[in-house]
Amino acid sequence: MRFLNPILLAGLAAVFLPIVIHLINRRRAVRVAFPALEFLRRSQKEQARRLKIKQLLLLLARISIFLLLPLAMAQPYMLCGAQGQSAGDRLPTSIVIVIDDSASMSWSRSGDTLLEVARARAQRVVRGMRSWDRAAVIFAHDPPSIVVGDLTGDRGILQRAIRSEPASFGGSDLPSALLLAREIQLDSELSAKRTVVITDDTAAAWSDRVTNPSQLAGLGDVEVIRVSPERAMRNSAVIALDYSEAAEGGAGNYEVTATIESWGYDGESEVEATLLVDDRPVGTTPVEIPADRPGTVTFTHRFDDNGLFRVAVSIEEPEGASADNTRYLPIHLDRSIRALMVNGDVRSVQYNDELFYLERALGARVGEVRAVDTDIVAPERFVSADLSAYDVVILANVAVMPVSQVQRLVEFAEEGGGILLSGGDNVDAERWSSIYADLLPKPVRSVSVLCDPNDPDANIKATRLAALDVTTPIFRVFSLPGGESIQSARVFTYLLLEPTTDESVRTLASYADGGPALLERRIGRGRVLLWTTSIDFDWTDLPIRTAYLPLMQRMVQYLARRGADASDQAVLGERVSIDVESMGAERVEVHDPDGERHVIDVVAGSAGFVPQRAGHHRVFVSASGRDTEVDALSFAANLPPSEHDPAVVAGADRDRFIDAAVGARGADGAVVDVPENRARTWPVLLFLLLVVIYAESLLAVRRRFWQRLRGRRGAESADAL
Amino acid sequence: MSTTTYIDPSRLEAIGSTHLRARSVVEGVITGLHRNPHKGSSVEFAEYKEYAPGDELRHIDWRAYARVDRYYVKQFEDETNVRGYLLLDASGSMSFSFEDAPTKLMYGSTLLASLAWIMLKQGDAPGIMTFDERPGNWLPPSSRRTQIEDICRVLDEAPGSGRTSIPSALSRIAERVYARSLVVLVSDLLDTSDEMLTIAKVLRRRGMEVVIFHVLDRAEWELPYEGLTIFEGMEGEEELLVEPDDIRSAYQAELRAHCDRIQAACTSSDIEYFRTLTDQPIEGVLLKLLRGRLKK
Repeated sequence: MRFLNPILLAGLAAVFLPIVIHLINRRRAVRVAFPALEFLRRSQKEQARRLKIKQLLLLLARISIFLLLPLAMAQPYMLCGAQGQSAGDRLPTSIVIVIDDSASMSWSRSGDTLLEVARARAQRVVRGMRSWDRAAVIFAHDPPSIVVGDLTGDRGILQRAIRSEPASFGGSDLPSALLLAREIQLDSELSAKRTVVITDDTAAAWSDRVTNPSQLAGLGDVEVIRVSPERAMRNSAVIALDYSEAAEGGAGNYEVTATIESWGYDGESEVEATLLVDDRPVGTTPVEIPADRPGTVTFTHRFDDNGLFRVAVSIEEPEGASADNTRYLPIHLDRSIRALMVNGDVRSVQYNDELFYLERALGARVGEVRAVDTDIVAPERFVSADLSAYDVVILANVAVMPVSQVQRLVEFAEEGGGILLSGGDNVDAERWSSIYADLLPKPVRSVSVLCDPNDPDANIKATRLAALDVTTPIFRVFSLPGGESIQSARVFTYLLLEPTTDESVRTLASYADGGPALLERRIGRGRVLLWTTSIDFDWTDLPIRTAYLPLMQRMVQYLARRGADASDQAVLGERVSIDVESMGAERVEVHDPDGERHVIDVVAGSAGFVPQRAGHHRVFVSASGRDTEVDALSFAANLPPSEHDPAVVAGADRDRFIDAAVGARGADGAVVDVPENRARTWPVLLFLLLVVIYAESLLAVRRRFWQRLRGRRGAESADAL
Repeated sequence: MSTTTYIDPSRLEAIGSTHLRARSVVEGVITGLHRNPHKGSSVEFAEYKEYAPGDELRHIDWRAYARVDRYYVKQFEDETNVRGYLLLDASGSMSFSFEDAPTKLMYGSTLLASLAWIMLKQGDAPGIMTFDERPGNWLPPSSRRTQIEDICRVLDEAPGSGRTSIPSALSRIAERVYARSLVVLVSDLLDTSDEMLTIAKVLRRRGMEVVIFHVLDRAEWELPYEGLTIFEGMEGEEELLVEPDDIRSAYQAELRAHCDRIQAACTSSDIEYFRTLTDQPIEGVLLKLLRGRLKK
């Protein structure tokens, strides 16, 4: 409230006058000697209460007069307009309610989730609407969805929409939701605009996807209602899930490793993790999570059959978001590994052939099934090979390769394929480094020849595999009893490598003399392994050692492209491309975890789908009028990593974002600002003043009126004497 | 008779002496309007009465004694020797007056002095007693010519202070009066007890004529005060802070009910009751009394 003549408010000091006068009057009451005091006393008893009330009312009326008079004379008014605070109080307002229903909103301590609290707050906003206001509702998951887009004053519709919209508990994108809100506000004919954002205010919610705040001009008054608690929120989440063949237990035994991280804990925390296979819990174990890094838990499970297994790891926590407590991973076990071996040193004598030992090692049967299906091709025939049919390409002692083919191999790796490069007599260090620069983990400096295999002192001169990274699936088996046999293999010659700072390169094994033995480089979704000695008998006697077969098989399995792993799972809110070109599909139907069906047209051989629900998705392909479920296309959608951390964004950061957005109003001229308008309130005060004066007069003048009337009555009575 | 010929009570105060005030009033009253209804020693025989100690022996009818062997005393029509006991309430409340009106004490004094004067003129014997909480000055009835001077002196000495106790005054009179006396009480009758009425009824049953003048100030009748007022009692009561406007009607109803109750009690006991305000002419009140008695 503001005043045109604020100086006149000084008159408010006079509000004490009636009180003072009242008190003085009581002291200055006229003293009169009167004989008939007993009759006065009797009458006064009956009238005492009424007298007190009347005196109180008179006092209040007089105080009100002295209060209202200066207030009215100061001419108060309220601002109504863009810079005022009460445009919404006066004008019909278009309200856009933006509700954050991201995964972090599934947080709860013991009662309602934050989303339930947010829905309740939204209902309160709807209930607070006046009959001339209109509202729309947007849920700010990623991508955001408009639930009620046409501004309506029907509270029933709005409340049902707020109540019925299923929680996405996926990623959040408040800025994009605000863009939608802006479009609704700009379409609105109502001049007063208000945007209410109900969120947990996490950093992820305010991710800066709208780089230019002026894009948000037109939202009107933006009110952010934070529903997260004041104190730091805790949360634990399964942030990654991977699997590999178990070193023990034979074929079909797999290790499923979950990575679990906690936020908001001062020290170590503990959760209970459960492995679910096809929705059935198959194992539970407690996991301790350090405060400064994620913890891991590995389940070993035997998959008896081939096929698709829908695996998930779920955790139980006393406090936190429930949506990120489970991570999903489809495991396809019905696919044998197919390897294309490029023979760089073809020999007529079989055992001298570069791939003699490898072919046999990979071709060994695991039960009734071959471990790896292999095809062998000469370097010059590599051009015609269809790499998409293979999971692994092995370049064994291949001296040269056309640049175009090397590029094919890079693309093959980027798409998830595995490449194994092995050394040999054909390797020229300089040429190799040049030709395979995009594939090699490190450039080759030279060939280190320690001794001839036939050297009598070979046992002394030759080196051996010494430092093995047993955390990788390749060497894990060699950490078990009997695994030391790999160290019996002698290496007579190997490639020396140049140092590099590439962080995607790591050394998985080294020789006893410190030279690198096996290096890994990640390219895209795939891997490249460089075996620095030969894969045959030329530079090492490993092929005749017992460790050769499991080592080669595990290297190929490690490289092999899988149907899904931690790196290629779908993320909520992000587009998934389902490649069905080879199937001649007309359309694709995706069944989300809730069983809802999404029919997608196939465009250019693929179907795009944006998952909204975390969990396993089934894919049906419609071709030639028949719908067929394709397990190979099944995928799991998981939360984006940004939703795990419940840390609340600093208010200042959010305010800067909002201020930048709102402060840009008018910059594009799209917003109709309501000019400042003074709503005068002093006429109301004057009216009240008149009412009070009238009431005071009634209370006071009425006395004289009765006095006169009684004066006549007294005279009549006296005459009657 | 027009009241304009009477003395304005507001001017009574200017007449310093009660004697003069009474004389002024009496001049305005037609004298001899009443006959003495009492029987006494007159030449006109009225009836016999059995002798009782105290009766004069010379009034014994010896003939009757000879006939019936009992003593009878002759009674005669007597117009001169009525004994009048005039009682004036001289308590604190009687000192009250409002604006120009005389005090109730002055009004009552003048009224009784006037009445005494008239009685003396008729040959009656008026006596006077003032009282407050206790009986005060007492002047026995007498028909001497100087009696009026003595009565006025007693009235002038009336204190106008202290509490009121009408029953004690009436009790004292009851001990002293003879039968066939006239008892006149002037008071504001603010004592709400019934004891006063009880004693008055006893007096009446004993054959005395009882007349009560109920004197009130108009301010008492109408409560004309305005604004917050502290009322102080005149007979030692605790003070009272009230807004007169708010309690006026209730007060008037209370006072009227009190007066009506007294009047009703007097009427039922054949006690003459006159209510008057101090701003009303005394002559009018006296005439009302005298005319009433003439009718009897």
